[in-house]
Amino acid sequence: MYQYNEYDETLVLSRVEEFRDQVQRYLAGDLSDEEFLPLRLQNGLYKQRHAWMLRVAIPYGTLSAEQLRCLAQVADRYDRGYGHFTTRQNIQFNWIELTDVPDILERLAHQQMHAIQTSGNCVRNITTEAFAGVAADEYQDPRPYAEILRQWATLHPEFLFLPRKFKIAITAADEDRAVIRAHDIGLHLYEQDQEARFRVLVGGGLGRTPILNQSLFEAVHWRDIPAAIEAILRVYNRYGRRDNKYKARIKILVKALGIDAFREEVQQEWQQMRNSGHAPAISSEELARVSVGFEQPLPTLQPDLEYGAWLARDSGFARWCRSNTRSQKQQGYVSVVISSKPHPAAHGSTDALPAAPGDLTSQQMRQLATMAEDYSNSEIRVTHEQNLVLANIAQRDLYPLWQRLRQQQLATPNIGQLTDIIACPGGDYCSLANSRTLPVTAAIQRLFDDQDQLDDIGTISLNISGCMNACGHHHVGNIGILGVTKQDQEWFQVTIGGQQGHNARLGQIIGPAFQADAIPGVIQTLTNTYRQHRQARESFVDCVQRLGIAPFKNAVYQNTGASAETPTEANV
Amino acid sequence: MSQLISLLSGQPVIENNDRWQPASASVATLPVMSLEEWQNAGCPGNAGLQLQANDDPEQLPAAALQLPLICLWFERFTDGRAYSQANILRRRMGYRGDLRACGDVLRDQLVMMEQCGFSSFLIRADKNPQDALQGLQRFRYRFRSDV
Repeated sequence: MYQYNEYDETLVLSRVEEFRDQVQRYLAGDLSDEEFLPLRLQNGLYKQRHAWMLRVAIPYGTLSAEQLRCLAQVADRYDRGYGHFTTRQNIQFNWIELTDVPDILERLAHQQMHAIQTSGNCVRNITTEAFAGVAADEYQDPRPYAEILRQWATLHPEFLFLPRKFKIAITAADEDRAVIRAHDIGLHLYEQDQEARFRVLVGGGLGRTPILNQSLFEAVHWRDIPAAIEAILRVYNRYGRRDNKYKARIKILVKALGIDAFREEVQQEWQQMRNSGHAPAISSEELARVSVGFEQPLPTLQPDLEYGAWLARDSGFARWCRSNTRSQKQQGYVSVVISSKPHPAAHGSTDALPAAPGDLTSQQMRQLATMAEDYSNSEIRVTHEQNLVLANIAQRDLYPLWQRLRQQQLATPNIGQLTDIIACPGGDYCSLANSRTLPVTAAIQRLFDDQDQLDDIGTISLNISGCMNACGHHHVGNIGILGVTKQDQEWFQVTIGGQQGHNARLGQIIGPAFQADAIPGVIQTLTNTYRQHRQARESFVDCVQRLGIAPFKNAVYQNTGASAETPTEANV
Repeated sequence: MSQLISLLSGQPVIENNDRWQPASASVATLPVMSLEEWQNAGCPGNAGLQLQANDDPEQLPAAALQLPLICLWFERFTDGRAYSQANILRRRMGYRGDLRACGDVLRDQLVMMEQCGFSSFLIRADKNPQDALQGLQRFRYRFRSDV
């Protein structure tokens, strides 16, 4: 973990005091709603359907055990005993009182956390993958760069009022597990001539106009990455559209200019920065200072004989190991993925307020913090699929860890499977959503409760968004579900063939939308069609890629024709 | 009361003797002109220049950098273009005169403006400048510019 220095501490604490003052002035009527809006958004505070929501930053998704305990305290003391982990590796509290927010932020600041720039038209939390530093296919840990860029972007005075929000993600692995192609800037860290270099992709984003980003620069030297980003942001800040919120993301500017003309603008800007001696650069000393926090020497392990025995003895454990553990580059150690998506019955989930993928109770957070201390260097990571990861687990510790996770309902063996659903909170919480995603999620999880069937369907991603804003990333789900409204009724549009990763693809709509109760059946038909047509070990998405959507579409509309409706134009 | 806050030896103070007036004002001793007005007047050296958010500082004639005052316009306080203009004028082009924020200028953005190189702030007419002063006095966290 990166440890704050005096500068970081002072900055975060003075920011808390500033916001305390702003809240008081808002409540006293000295700040209008309009004036208060960007101030609160830049401190992570949203107004939702029922209450205020506070989104706390978890930089690049890495937390210490103490920090997770602090979040549990916040959940108990200021919320309803749970928190919601998001697809951008942050955590949200849904039932917050405005007057408590300064105290919450102060409490967080003492644990080196904040909510700065988790919303607003500024650079948001810089994300990476949950297996950073341990992934077997990784070149090097990208988190020191993410931390340096976090510091650079935090309260950068020039870029707090961009045309629209701005999201950056970094990966350093062969396989992209951070959805970098769907970000305003995607960074791929790789090695060339024994130097770390960045491929810089620009202009991606989902939402109303889903676009995958394009290559801007192929080989930026690591020390120049802040300069490259500054040049991009300055061009965007000056020329991005501000007349229409839906056309204000950088993807629209890149598309309007074309990637080559956009590159020319950025190169020109960067040249001017260099000429005037104001191009920021990372020094070797700074990289070394920040990197120290992420280095975790692990003891060499003695040969372990118990693990194999437990695999043979306990089929439940073996199944969980198959689906929820990942090998690491450090031999003998594995990463464990903790599913936040158990069967709805295990969740105490009700129809009135179903638990959301990504929800953890304060009790679960505390227990997990202790497990991290006992087995995992006191570190917890958040995945963009809204699950959690404990890395650096010695193989011999897996069995006791699994038992403890089971007691907390945190050992559902469904990682990467159909019930490992990414969903936004939807209409139950969000005032933008025009449909309820959580009951649909729960209904699918209830229908697919046979573990053997899930194993047989294999690796598949299912993403659900409650509106066009696409917080559930439905465009890049192997199966994507989008909630739309038609004549005051909720309908759900289905896409298939989407995919994240370096070869990311957007899904295709299979046809007219469905009502909520038809969706589990549609999913069943889609997966059955796959099981009929698949070749050898082909995955669902590869099968769709090979066959096209026609056989899937035909099967679905043959089975469920009656309940499908033509979506209105506004919904397409 | 004056709506103008200036930095004096780095400290913000209310400036009661603002000598600048729009060129259209009848008693314009020191006129502030739009780019067009200034160029039509033959680029006089004793004028103040009012830029709009889409004006490009790098396209200005060299004489502009010798002017005593350049004003940047915030159409709305959420429009961040003038921050980039300020940064370019100060850091890249080396402008040394008074760089003034005008328009929708509010207390809670003054710290950012100052850090981008603004040296005076014409607070929106309906806001209390005494109150706005605190925006520069109470919370002066600095951005970490040395990467």
